[in-house]
Amino acid sequence: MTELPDIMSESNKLHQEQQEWAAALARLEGQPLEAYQFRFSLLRLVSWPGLTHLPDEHIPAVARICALLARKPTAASLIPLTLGMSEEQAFALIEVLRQNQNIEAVGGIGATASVNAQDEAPELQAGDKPRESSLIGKLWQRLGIRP
Amino acid sequence: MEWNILFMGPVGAGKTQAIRSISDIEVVNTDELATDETSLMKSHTTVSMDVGAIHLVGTDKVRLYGAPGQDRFDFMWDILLEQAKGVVLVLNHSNPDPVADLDHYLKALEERLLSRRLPMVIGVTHTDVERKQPLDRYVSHLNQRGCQVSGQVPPVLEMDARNSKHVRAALIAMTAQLEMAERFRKN
Repeated sequence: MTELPDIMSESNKLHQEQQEWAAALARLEGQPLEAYQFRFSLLRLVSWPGLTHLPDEHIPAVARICALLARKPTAASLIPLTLGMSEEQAFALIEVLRQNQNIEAVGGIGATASVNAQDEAPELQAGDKPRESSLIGKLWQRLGIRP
Repeated sequence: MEWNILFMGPVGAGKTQAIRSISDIEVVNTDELATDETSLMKSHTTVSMDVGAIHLVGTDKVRLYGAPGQDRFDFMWDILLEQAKGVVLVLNHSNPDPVADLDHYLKALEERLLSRRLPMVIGVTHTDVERKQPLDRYVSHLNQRGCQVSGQVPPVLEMDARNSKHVRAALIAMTAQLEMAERFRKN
């Protein structure tokens, strides 16, 4: 009898985490881009979020943002461009990741990213998204995602 | 074109089940009757490998290989790692010391891969059985020791190997890392 409440609370906790993500994103809907103070900052990954605790529809975009930042700190403004996402979607997800301390701004929030090319993931070009014909593109398609 | 993703981890962690959860084909496995200490955990165990597949458009596919958990079959790890594009390390959270398991596998991978880097995802199973220790302990440990295998602290996620959504999330994390590895490599 004592085990059941523990299991229930953990299950509820998972559900709660998904709801918190959904609620945080809902609060950010329609937020003007200028309101995101980090948008000129250099961002780095602190740790990946527990992806299975996220609402399913946001897992691919969050995974791509984290994978990019794990490779190299990147200026926030370049992230949507590099990953082919809308600024609204990318900035809202980044904001929630930042609130959950998965991402942090190098030099603090509001700090402007250096224009030093090395800081801005020069290897990744905006138009260099995986082609649908590439194996990565096909794998994304199979996972139901169009990067 | 075919890419291989390798599932590794201790006996009973859920590698075979994870592959079964997302494979498009009936998983080909080499289960044999367990006769050693494994028999205390389960009747059969993988002795050579499991093989599943995800079919992509055209003839392309991603093959999912499961490596045997026992160290005495570790010669298979070398063979399977040779062709692997990424590794999903499955850890059983209810094992007596799962962080030691993590270390054991990272060390084994580092010894085999040397300077070669592979995208990695850590899937922690059986968290419903043993919930006392938070998953953060794996991340903290990885932050302290580093992860030479992938060159960065890999994603750690709670994974019910029977839940295809969970295994899919692991595969998404893997694909995102493969995409970035590919895009960085090109330039």
